[in-house]
Amino acid sequence: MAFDVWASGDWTELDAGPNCLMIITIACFTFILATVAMRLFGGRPGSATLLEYQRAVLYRKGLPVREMGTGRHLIFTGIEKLMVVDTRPIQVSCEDQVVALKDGSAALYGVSGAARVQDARKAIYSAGNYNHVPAFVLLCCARFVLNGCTPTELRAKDAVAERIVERAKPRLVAAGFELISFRLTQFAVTQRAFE
Amino acid sequence: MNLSDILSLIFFPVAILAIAFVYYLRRFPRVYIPDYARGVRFIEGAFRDVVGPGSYQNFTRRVQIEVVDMRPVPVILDRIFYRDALQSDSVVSIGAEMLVDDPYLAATSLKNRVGDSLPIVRNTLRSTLSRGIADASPEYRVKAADDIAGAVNTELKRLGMKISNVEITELSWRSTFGRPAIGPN
Repeated sequence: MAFDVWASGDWTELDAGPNCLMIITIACFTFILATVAMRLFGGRPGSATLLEYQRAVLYRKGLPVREMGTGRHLIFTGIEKLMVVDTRPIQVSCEDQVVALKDGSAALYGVSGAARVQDARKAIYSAGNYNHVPAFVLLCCARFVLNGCTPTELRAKDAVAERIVERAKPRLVAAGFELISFRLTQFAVTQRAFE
Repeated sequence: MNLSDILSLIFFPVAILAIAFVYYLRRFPRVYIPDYARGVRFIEGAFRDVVGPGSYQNFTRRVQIEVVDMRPVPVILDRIFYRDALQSDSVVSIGAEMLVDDPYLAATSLKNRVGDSLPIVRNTLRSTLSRGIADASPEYRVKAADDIAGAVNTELKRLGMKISNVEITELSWRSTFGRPAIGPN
């Protein structure tokens, strides 16, 4: 019925007057053109829900706009994107590492620790995969500190661990992480640094 | 013919065309490039340009954009054995960040950007340190790290990659001067 009216142009067959139908037609035109324009130049409205352990940075047209927390958020898919960061602790555990000590002997060691994201924006930019940053920092710092120690100094295991933490903490903070725990899990000094 | 007739005539074709256009675009999803990435644009398979952050809508299959992540990738090279200029068996470990220097070269010359660059880093590191004499001083570590970064970046430049923040985490050596060289090398 409605299609026949549209096709014939005889508006009088409907209850509404011709002016009213013309307005409806123009409104439909406007809606369709707006949809096409939005698809071309804008985004489609949608929503994203962040869980309580997630943080995100909203990017609009490739640039960071603001950080977002837990909850449901309106985003325009196409021009906006949420980069989600998981704030649950990232566990680090590396065993059977060998390092040469200051006097030329070697130590077998293992490290264990945990860190979590504190600043989502910094964490996103810290590395291609931010989950790798805590392990990288802890391993580098542990090796650096142990390489500068003598076997005698290594007897004070807690003091050595503290030195590693002192070195690692600022680097992790700069990358947007918080160090939760760290300990040397395995420790033995040998005399064979080059084998 | 009045305005109502004109509207009724063009409404359905325009509506159908618009809907068809929107569905057509669904076949070409937008390429989204955040500010830490770049897009290498190819048209009919040939390199066109490098595009910056933004949202790009392709209208045909002629255009392809490959997104290249410019963020650093932390790498650790542990216990690399070498002999220094005095033929002392030495061992070095480094931590560094590897990142893309030229998105076009990185996209077109390396399949696995970090994995394929690591052998070059390892070999260059060995050859660079072999020319010097290992020293326990912190200044030597800093200088050696700078030398390594310079030499590695020269090698990686042709692949569009580079390393930064090189840190020597371990350096040790055993003097074999005056004796037949022994060791893992």
